[in-house]
Amino acid sequence: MNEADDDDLRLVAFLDGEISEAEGIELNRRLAADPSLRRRLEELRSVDAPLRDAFAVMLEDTPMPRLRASLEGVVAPRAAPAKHYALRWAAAATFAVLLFGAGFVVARFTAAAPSAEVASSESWRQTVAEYMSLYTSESFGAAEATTSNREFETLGQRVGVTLDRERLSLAGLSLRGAELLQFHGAPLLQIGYVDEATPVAFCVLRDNEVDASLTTASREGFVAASWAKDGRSFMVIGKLPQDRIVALARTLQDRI
Amino acid sequence: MSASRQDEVRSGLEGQLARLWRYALTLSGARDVADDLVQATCLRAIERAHQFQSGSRLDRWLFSILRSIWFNEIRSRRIRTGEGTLDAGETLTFDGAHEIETNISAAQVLRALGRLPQAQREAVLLVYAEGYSYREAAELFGVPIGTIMSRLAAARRALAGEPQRPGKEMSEGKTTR
Repeated sequence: MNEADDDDLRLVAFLDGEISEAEGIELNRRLAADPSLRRRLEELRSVDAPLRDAFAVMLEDTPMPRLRASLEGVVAPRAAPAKHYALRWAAAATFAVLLFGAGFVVARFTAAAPSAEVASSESWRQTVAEYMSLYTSESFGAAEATTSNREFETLGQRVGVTLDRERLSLAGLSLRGAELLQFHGAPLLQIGYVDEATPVAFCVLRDNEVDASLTTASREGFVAASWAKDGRSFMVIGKLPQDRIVALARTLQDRI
Repeated sequence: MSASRQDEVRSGLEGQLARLWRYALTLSGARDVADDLVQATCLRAIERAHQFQSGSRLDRWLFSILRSIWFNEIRSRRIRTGEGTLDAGETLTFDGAHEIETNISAAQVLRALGRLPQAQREAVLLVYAEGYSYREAAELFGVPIGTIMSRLAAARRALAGEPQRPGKEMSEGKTTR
């Protein structure tokens, strides 16, 4: 490091109020005697005001509505009133019994969630998270699904997406089956996977939700990655590290 | 878990969102990544609320969480998947209406910030926007104070329009074009 660089370090520390008293006295003495050092100080100082403005601009630019919404998603589970939770759980339990054992099931499901919650795009995700807590690695069927591409295609059509085995295959996960459910009259498709012993679900709901980029939330102890596109809401949910869930979600987001 | 600390963290989060996002944008250089990073930070903060020292600075605690998620999780994943870090030059966009009368405009500074190596960008934000002392920044980064000084000096030179000089610091973070 040369002398000019050393001086820059001293001058910057001086501007930042991080210089020792002794060094400050010495620097002031040199500044008084050396016009080029004073010029250098001013050059380095010239950055201060525009930098302050630039940081203020970034702050003004913050997408607050989006961040508030995602914060709500993060703190929401606690906000759910306990009795509603119990009702939904009971409904979910009945529903879960109907479902499992087959790779391909069509079931009807009316959540006991209060009607005020129906409008919330969050409520179906919360409901799925609640019945996910009932799943084991065997819930989706014990072996790789035998669902044909024709069946995937039909199921996909119900929720308005193009599906086949290739699009749904996820590295490291065993595809165990597809189930068509409904949530307050809207078709809800659930694809079941198992990662070693951990059930993971990919859900698609045709509910005309506005487009939303990928966000993650903790629901009932599960990690859930959600997004919405072209009137379809999507969610990948499971007890896996957030990284992993997000990676799976991004893969599916790219394909579907 | 202490309910009061949970509440302290929960209720304090919203007030920190904008500054968390600015930090996330400074680190990642990409808006969508910044959104994810802030959300992951909020989630982690709530999960770890019991570790928060009641009465201490929530902002500093959240910043250290955000930083650790970025370096240990998101950044490494992006590099693994070949996404790397994005060119902040195009994502730290600036609304021309904010143009101000100085020799160097905020717009120029924002563009120049985007071109700085990440390590310098981060030091500039924490020391100049967030009021970290050199010592506090050095502790957070796990580097000597001298490294903070050279990052800030290099950043000031670059922001003043001088070319970046090659040096050992240049290998840290991503040097964009």
